[in-house]
Amino acid sequence: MLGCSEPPIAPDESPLIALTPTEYNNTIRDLLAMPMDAEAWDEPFAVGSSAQRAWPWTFPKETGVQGFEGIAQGQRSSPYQIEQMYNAAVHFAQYVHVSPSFHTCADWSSMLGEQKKECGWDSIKRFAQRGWRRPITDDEEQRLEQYFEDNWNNGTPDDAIILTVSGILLSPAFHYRIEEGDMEQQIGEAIPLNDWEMASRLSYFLWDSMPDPTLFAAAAQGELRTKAQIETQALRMLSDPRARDTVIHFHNQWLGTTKINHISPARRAYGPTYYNISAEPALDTSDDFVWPTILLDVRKSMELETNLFVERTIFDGGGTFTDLLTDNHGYLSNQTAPLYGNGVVELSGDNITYNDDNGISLNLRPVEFPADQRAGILTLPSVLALRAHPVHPAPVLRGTFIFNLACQPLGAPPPGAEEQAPPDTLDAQMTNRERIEVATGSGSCATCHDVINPPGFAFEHFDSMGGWRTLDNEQPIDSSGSFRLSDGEEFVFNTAIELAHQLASSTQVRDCYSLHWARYATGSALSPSHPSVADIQAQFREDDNIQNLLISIAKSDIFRYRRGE
Amino acid sequence: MRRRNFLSHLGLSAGAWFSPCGVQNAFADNEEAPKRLIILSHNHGWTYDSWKMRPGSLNSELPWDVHLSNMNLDQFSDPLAPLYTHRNRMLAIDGLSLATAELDMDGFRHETGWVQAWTGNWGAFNGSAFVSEAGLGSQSASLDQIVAEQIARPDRLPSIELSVNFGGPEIGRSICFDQTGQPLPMINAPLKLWERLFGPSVDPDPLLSRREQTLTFSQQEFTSIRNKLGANAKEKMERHFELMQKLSQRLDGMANLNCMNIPTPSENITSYDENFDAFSELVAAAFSCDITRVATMSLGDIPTSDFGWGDFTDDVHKGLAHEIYNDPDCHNAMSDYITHHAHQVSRLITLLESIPDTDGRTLMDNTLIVWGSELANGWHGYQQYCPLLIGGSWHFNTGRYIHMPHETPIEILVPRTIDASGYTSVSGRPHQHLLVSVAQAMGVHTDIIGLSHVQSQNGDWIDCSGPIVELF
Repeated sequence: MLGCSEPPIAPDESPLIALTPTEYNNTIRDLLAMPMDAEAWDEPFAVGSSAQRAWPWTFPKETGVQGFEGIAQGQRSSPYQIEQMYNAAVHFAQYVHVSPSFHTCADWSSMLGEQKKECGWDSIKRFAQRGWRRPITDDEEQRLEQYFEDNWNNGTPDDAIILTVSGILLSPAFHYRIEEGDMEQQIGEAIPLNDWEMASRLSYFLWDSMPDPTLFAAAAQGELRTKAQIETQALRMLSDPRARDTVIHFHNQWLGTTKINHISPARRAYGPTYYNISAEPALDTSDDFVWPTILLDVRKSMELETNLFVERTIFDGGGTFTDLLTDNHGYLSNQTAPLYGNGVVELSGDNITYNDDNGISLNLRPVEFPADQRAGILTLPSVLALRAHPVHPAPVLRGTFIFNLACQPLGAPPPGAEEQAPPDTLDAQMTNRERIEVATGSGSCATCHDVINPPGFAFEHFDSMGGWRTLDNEQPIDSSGSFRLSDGEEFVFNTAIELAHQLASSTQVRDCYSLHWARYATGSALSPSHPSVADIQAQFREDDNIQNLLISIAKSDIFRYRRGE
Repeated sequence: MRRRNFLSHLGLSAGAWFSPCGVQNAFADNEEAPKRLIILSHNHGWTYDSWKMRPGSLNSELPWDVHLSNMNLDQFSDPLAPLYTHRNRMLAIDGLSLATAELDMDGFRHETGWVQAWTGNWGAFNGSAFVSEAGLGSQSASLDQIVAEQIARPDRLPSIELSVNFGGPEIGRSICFDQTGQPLPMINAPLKLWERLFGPSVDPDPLLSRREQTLTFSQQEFTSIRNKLGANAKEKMERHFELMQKLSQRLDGMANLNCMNIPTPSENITSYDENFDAFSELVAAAFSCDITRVATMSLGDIPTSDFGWGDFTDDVHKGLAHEIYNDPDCHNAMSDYITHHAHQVSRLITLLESIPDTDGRTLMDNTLIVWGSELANGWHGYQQYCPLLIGGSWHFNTGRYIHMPHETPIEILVPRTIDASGYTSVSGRPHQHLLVSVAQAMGVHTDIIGLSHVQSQNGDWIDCSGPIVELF
């Protein structure tokens, strides 16, 4: 019960959230208890779509909200997506007979008659409860049993199971996280989520997947009701490797590094500099594969370096937002080493090896970068190269990114604005900064670009591949500048490193980061002014610890309650 | 009934051929006929010098068009001559380029071309395949998929994707890309296409037909909870299940086709031409029975002996295509190669002209064929792209050869024998305009297919949006 001295509960609406492509695939994997490595999956029982790799299924991307999937407002079904859901259900249903978690009996294949049917029905019922992430109601059980009976009577037992499982996977209870709440405990307009809904909220927030047996057990025993109980589970879940994947996934969306394949620096600009190849491919096409193969390795290395930095900083390092924006430790491979230049110190510690079917083979080594060159996520080559043209870096895109980190919208560029950009050519005159200033510094352009450009210029020491440079067009680089955020915070800096340190302690940037996490946790495009969000933000401003932020969100009203309609 | 049994039941052998008129289906006369699209894409581009036509020595520096109906057969170029009888349906477009592919600096000129030619987007190598990377405001999907989404019947196949090959080392690659930009699998044998088109109705898989019941079950589950949902949630889930119903409709529709005189492709196809014709028969049958309205045929290399150059080399790609600017024999051989494809296309047109449509006209009257390639020429060049449109007179002013001078400031790689610098200073118009023109002809309301604009090597902004206005 709510004490008289406690503030009123501030819930948010509980929008209907569909499983994201990531969540769908993770849920299937955990539901079938299959290994993380799809190569290790057993062959499906039935003959099916043999051309399809076992897992994960490729779904169309969600429209998303500010780059994030899993927000209700950014999800809209399309004919193609529904077709893929159907195909995925048909595909994965074939794996139930080789799933270690499906059959409730040990000897399904040798069973006969009623005994086999009994095992089949028990297995189906358990599968439905796990897949729908809650006990099934009597009505649901009746319909499911009738469906199972129909399938049983019209084909082989194996096919009956596969068809019934397809139906379970196509049901709304699997695809959607439907939250009704515990109406009996309603306080004003706030309805607490019931135990099973709470288990799913926690698991999809921290694991991007379904609850594990421990969470299901806690839900069954009513042990997900108090803040202390939720904190206990959240701490346990954060120590699980799945939480690392989720945190990395969040940051990839936040930083835009899910689009790592969009990085397309020009061979003519960077091939000779970094990789000792000619500026142009040979006319006989004999080296057509050279630059794409280099980029393939470089992109993958950048992706892994980003993921390792995020994971090691949050889970194994200082764990604070300040560390995330300022720590100068990281990883590099032979493929990206040229980008980091001199002064990198190799550290002792585990090397990370990566090999895949595409022939990519990388060895990532822990290093310390020069503190005057690299500071946290903002100077990761992936983040910088994503905001660059093929030849020259793009201060406008980099500046916009900084304002996005502060949740300060800049609006869309006016029609034709892109055409004012200076040519992205090798024979450019002046420095990149000078050319941008000439192109954007006068007339109506200047109104916005006087604001956008300065934080972008801070990164002029980094070329289109995120490589460190000290000269631009043989001229010294000017990365100094100043700007102000909408809350009045002012930033004055000479380098990107100075700017990164200032942004790390910025109230507006920290609030924005908290807001993104709160939206990610609830699947709702929460208003920044929501009182529960304000509480979370206030705590994070002081605490700075990212894991603590996640726990505080899990304990918050917006996470534990829904607003009645 | 298994397929073989079904054929026996009809009194046909598995090797039986069928006459074009055999694909007629029972439609009520004067129904409005659906519009259909066929995309044909051959390998290695064209030999522009033998393909182009200059009746009356028209000036290559100026824009012009000529009406093909006024031309004699001997005025037609060799590669276009096989299409002479269909000239009133044609639009030969001389003045485009795959200029944006030239700006896709990743190398892989064939692979980039396959993505660029049919999506208008950048091609990105993801390690195992080339995928389509949509630009701002565009879709990742290829033209055929965008059109299919617009015109497909909900109860039938939105599109079919075919790879036509016979013995050549270079197969017809995937040129169809889904909405995630991934290449779609291609059907590479007429029998497999037969299974896809007619299998569910002629030879139903018992499990497949019962899978429809899974949709019914999930629909019931939705019905049981819909009243518990709030307004927004209900609307979201209703859309989901409306789409599920449509999917169910398609599965049901395909299982309950009632097509007359279904063609039966041979199991013993002995040549590339037979293979092409067998696919053509099935495409025509699919159109006639309205099983699909969009077909893509990606044409693999024709064996050199089929077009008279077997003694010279057995490899179209490296034996002929690469050398067109170095060796006149190779140039002539590739010209014959295109001519051979033109004969195939001509037979396809004749077939479609022989089949009545629901409106009392013929299938060809309601079909638009787009014939392109992944390159402009076998030297891996992107300059002087030579597509043909055949049909589509409901939207285009057909029966013309259109010439547009090259004025787009994108530099295109050419042999140094053509330009000492290795690059032309200008290119033909970006081919995205062609994709937009076709999409609009098929009822898609858009001005952008693929890249909306690009920046040239010299920093010029090139508009790739909108149709080719000269086609109207």
